[in-house]
Amino acid sequence: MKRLFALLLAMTLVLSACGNKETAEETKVEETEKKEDTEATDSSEGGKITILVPGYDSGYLKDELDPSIEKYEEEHPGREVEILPVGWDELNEKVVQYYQAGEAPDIMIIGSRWLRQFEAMDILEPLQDFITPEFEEARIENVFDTGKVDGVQFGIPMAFSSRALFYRSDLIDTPPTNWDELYETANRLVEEGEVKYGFAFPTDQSSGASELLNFIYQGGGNVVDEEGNVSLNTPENIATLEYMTKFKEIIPDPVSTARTDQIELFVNGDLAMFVSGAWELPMADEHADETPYGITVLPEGEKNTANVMTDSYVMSSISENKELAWDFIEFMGDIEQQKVITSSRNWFPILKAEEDLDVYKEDHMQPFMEIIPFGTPQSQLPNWDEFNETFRIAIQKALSGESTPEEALNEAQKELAP
Amino acid sequence: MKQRNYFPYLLLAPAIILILALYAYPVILTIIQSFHKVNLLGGSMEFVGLKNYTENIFNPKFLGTLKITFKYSIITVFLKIFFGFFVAYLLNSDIYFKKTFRFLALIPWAIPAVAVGTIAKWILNGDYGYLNYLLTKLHLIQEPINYLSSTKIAIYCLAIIDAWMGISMVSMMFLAGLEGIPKSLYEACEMDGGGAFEKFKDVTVPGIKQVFITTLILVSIWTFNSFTVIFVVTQGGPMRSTETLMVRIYQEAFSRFDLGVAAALSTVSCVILLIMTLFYTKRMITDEKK
Repeated sequence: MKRLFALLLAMTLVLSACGNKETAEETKVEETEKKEDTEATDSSEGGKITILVPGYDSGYLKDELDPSIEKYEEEHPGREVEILPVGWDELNEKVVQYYQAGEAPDIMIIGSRWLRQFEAMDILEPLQDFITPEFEEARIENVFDTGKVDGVQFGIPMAFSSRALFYRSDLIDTPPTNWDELYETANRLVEEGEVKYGFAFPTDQSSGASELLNFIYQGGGNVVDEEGNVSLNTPENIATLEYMTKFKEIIPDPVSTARTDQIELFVNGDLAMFVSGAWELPMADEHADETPYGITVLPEGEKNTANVMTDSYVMSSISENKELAWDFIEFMGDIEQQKVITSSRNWFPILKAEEDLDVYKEDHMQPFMEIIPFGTPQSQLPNWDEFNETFRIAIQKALSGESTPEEALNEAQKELAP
Repeated sequence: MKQRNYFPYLLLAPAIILILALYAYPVILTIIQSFHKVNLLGGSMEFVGLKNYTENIFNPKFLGTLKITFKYSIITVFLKIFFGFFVAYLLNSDIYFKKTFRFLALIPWAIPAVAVGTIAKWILNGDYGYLNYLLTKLHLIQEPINYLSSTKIAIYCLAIIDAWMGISMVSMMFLAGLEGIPKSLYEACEMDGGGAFEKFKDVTVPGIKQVFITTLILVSIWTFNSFTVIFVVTQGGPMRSTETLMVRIYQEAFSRFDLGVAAALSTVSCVILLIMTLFYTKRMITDEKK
């Protein structure tokens, strides 16, 4: 009896201590269920669609999406588009919660790097049947292809970024054109005491892996083999990581540096060079008086290339308003709406009609444009999140000296493909 | 013969039904899911037997996670209990502004964990954090330290942050226990010629024992289940050095979308906590018998 009592007492304690989380989850589910009831749509004419937008609350595309949605609602009376904001870091968690509750946003904006993973989970609707020849004809082919998984279109690319090297033009007369020069320049500036750091490798969760892939591709390697399986510890990748570890003493902390830190360090005068996208231009311009800058094509490694990255609209496979959802995607993909999005962060053309816009003729956009034809589409992995985590840790271990490049990549390979 | 009285059970029934509905249901669901491969879409399940357990528990990665979890829990629980008792003891002694101090001691407990984590992250930042600034000003360090980027230091930082938040609650629980000890016992001890040490050993310690054990159980469970602070401050990094079982469960469920494995790990953590709690409660009951 005493024993039974003890067991019961123990159970109650454990259960009540564990309880809070469970009830929180339940309320969430209840909330979404309630939402579902009120969201039942009527006909194909009117109705409501929802779109999941990561980063919206912190400003990602807020000013661009809001007017477009307003315009859409005006042109289509009776229709309503609701934005569901979510942080980039919580994107997956939210998606899981929505699908668990059996209710998902009709449209989601996701990085195209997630397509394969989401497709494998049956989250995405194939868009083949919706796409008209005119719709496809209007798009730049190799950019459009980044929305495909095994030849099937699951995403409609809506943001396309390219990379170039930002450098301090007051400290560097001739910017580096290859990897050897990149290291020499970075090292010289630190030795001369001009800057604290010569170069930077971002390794943050949100964008670190995507930035690091630039170097992997430039080193002539990849992270998947021809069959699409993870292959990290190839001789090319080991050599690339060995090259990167040469910078060990002249880069900011390799464990905590985020992509967004680079421009901060740069305009503070602490960093001599970094690789990033054209969205850094406004901030660089703002501080150009104290830290004059130049932009040049990525220094060539073994191969002259860069990571080609897109974000895409995708449609949920359990959406009840697929026709309406496609109608909205088509509307957003029209040149009038698309050019607003493309120009908002100095992204690059999605539509053929955008290529002629004046902004791409400006000088400082040329280094970004030049590399595009040589771009390597970002590898599609069976599980991007797991890869992201393991790959970044391997690079961090090598750069912080915890492991040799070979050990780090071997270990990561073993973890990802046991 | 003793008459059995069923009336109390009737009174308990509504509470028991509520607890079963709110707590037992998710727990049972988790146990069931742990034997399945759970499809995210519609929640359909495919039975996989013990696969989720065998593949994820008997491997070095899990043992590493468990080691980190216990290390984190032991340090944090020790800090919470030690300083919690210390604060309670001070607040229970004859001091001025007792009520004000009691109120002040509760403040850390009232701040949301996310806010504490965010502020702590700023204080500990290697480049522009306040702690480095202070230590440099005091000439205690030459080079800034990257607290949260070091695989050796990060876990201690988290333990201290978590303990800082938990000490308030622990001290309030101990304080309630200390106040329950009749003053007359201390006076009696004094009459028998006992000094401060004797009073502590022979009156305070036995008087607070029950409260101590209950607090220890609750604090151990809370700390073992700690998630918010770790997730806000390090997300299990740097290089997985603070990836406790709870963070791992979160990642299995929400990054790897493997709800089956997450459920299996949750079940294991529940069993660990159950064993720990049984051990404590057994002690409590045998002590009572004496």
